[in-house]
Amino acid sequence: MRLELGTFPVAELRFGSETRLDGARLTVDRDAVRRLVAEDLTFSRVDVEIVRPGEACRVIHVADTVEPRIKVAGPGAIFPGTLGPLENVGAGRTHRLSGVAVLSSVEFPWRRVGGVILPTEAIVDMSGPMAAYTPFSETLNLVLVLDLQPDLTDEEYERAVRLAGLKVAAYLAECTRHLPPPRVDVLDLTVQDPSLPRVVYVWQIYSLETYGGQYWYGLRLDNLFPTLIHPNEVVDGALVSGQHTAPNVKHCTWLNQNNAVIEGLYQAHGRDFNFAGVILVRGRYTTVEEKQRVANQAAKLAGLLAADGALVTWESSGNAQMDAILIVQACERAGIKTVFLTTEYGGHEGTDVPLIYHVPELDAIVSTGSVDQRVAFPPMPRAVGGATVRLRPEVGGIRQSATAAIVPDRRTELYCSGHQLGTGRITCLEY
Amino acid sequence: MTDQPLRLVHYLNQFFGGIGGEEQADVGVSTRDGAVGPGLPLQRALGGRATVVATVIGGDNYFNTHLDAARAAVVEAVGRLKPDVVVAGPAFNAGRYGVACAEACLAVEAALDVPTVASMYADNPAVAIYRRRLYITPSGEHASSLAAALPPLANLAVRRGQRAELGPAREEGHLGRGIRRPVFVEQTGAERALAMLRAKLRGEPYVTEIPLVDYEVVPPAPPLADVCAARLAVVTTSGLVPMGNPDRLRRSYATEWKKYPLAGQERLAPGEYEVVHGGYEAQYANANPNYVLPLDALTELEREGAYRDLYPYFFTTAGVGTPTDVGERFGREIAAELQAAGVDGVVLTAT
Amino acid sequence: MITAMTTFAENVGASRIVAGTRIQNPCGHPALSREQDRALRRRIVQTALDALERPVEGPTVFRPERLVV
Repeated sequence: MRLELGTFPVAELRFGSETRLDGARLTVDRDAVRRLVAEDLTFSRVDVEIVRPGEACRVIHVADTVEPRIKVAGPGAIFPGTLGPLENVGAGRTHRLSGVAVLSSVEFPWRRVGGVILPTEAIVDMSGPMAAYTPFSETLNLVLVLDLQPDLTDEEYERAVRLAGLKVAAYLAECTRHLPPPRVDVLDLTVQDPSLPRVVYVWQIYSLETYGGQYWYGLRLDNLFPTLIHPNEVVDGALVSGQHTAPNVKHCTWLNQNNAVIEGLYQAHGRDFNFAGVILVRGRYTTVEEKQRVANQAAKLAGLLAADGALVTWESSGNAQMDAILIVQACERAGIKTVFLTTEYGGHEGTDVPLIYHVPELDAIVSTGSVDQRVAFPPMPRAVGGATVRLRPEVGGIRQSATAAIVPDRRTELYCSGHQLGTGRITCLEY
Repeated sequence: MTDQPLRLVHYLNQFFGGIGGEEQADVGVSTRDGAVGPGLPLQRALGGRATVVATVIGGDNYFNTHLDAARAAVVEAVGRLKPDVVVAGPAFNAGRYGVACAEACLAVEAALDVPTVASMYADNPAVAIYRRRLYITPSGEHASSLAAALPPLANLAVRRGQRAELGPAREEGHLGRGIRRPVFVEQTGAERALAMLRAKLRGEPYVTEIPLVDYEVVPPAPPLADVCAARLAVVTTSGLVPMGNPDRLRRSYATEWKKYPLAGQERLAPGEYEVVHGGYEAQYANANPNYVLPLDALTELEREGAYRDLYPYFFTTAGVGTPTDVGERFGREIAAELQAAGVDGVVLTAT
Repeated sequence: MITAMTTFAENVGASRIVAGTRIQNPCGHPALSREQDRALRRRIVQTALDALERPVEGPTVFRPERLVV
């Protein structure tokens, strides 16, 4: 599977009469985007806004972020199985617009209390102290502000929102179809150097129910059994996020597309390691047996790939960390040297226990920061997506002004701040 | 910042202070002018940044057997000298000396608000006890490693004496006080992970970013002699509360536990209770609260005489994101209430 | 302590651990018939009562006997 990934860096984003890319300036036909999304009658109203890094504004009700990409050559189309037809992807040529993201903003209805299945408020600040915690304070964001028709099902809402972001992302990238990309990376694992160690990437995702899913070629992965995928498939948008219940720790579609571990392994391929493959597993099982079974299977697949080493990441929070730690343990016991990327706990002051589970095999850990430390959003003059944010679902929801200071209960509302894919530069150091 | 060198007082034990060996370990606290023993190379390491104005010497045994008196004596001696910073050790791997250094530092900080730094071997037993309350720079195991121990000790002593805002432990050269804070660094997590894996595969040294921590070992409570004669109580961390969450229990980072009456019910009825826990799928317990608080089974077993009776309240909190010390407080508070009520055993359900 | 996450409980040092069914329903299983579900719940609670009478030296897991389903 040989994929040429052409990158068009975008430094400027603005509205104009047609959607086009001139050098690094992307102009967007606002009405065309609006019409494209509004085709889906699930939406009662569609607005399109732009927010830029450094602006004194925030986006609320953030649902997903997607990088604009299209396939210009090779089998299949971008976001196969959801937007594109059901055909294997990962070969040929794909174009991407880097530095820009399609951000969907929608308030899903709350129809029950308690538990993990509630879609939760999610906020991106484009400047100020909370900006650095999310990747999307550094991207030019085209924001789709969506209102939902009442009295439809959660499934319809989730699907419509997911598709809207993908549609617009593909639409934006379309303007590069006949342009030569300033940079082309060749993603090809066919040639493996027998003198280098073989490294696999074990990628734990989380998927559960309507507002908690990850989608592989359009299939929600609640019942994913450990499997082998090709990283190029993810580059071509085969893994799409429909996760809205834990916005701080989720892997949004953009993070899937720009998985820093996959990028790093591609860069190291043929130099330090052979990138031997990607094993995709689901985590956060509710019995120890199910967790252990997945760990055993993942280690076995890594062994079948003749892995000497492994990198393990996980999605979500809480007991899903245990699923991932069991994978690390199973790999180490199979003689596969493993490095674990994880957020840590440690309580508000960072003095409590950092991990929820300990095994001696956990001897090589990279910390992607703490998810426990208190954060607070400062007042912000402009909020895109609505006038109020919705907090504290367990008491039925408390509304407050979106432009005022916001002190969240946990960091749940801090969009994509606690993911474990190693994209960011945040970690924890001891004092 | 003044150009004057900082005033530094150095604490040593009887051996390094030149009084004598183990046979002098019961000696009390005394003061000598200027630097003594290891204080001389310490002064060289400090250069013009600080002056060792005096050395306070205490017997290791004395400190450990007359702790209050020893502390008071150190505080009095240091108080008269009015230093900017106090340095203790290096104590290397000597346990009693390490404790004495730590206690001397703590006493001085508390009574005089003078910053301190201690130095000892990372595995000195005193480190595990005191590291969270003190700045401890590392030394080798034996006195022969003195020369290497002094630069980090001197440097941090100067920083502490200047009351500078300190950076991460690895930059300031101390063992760390167990406080982990978020920091933005140069390399991404993925870059650091790949570098770590490269080193691990090559058998080269690397430093894990999260050290593993041991939980405190709590000895098991002795068994009940006869559960048939026991009063039991039920506690749950499932976040089960009366419908409507009347006391607005938080769904995570619990700050309190609640107690609700069982009111002679034989089982918990759906629609009267709900789960406010933020960490698991609540629909099963919402449909049948007995899944997380098995009152129906408890009632049945009580009727059959399997135990004497059930305390008529249940205790609840949402067990997600609860810091360990908060959980410990909950346990102590609930246990106190249960003991006062003559409860012998607890069934605790955790989700 | 009744919990499905027995290895967690052992890891943090809980003394008497009764293996629960699943995280979200530690005492019973909704897929069982009403009678079987109540019987399972009773068995789990009975195991907890038995555990209270047993001396233990450290974290110990007590497993309710398997129901014949």
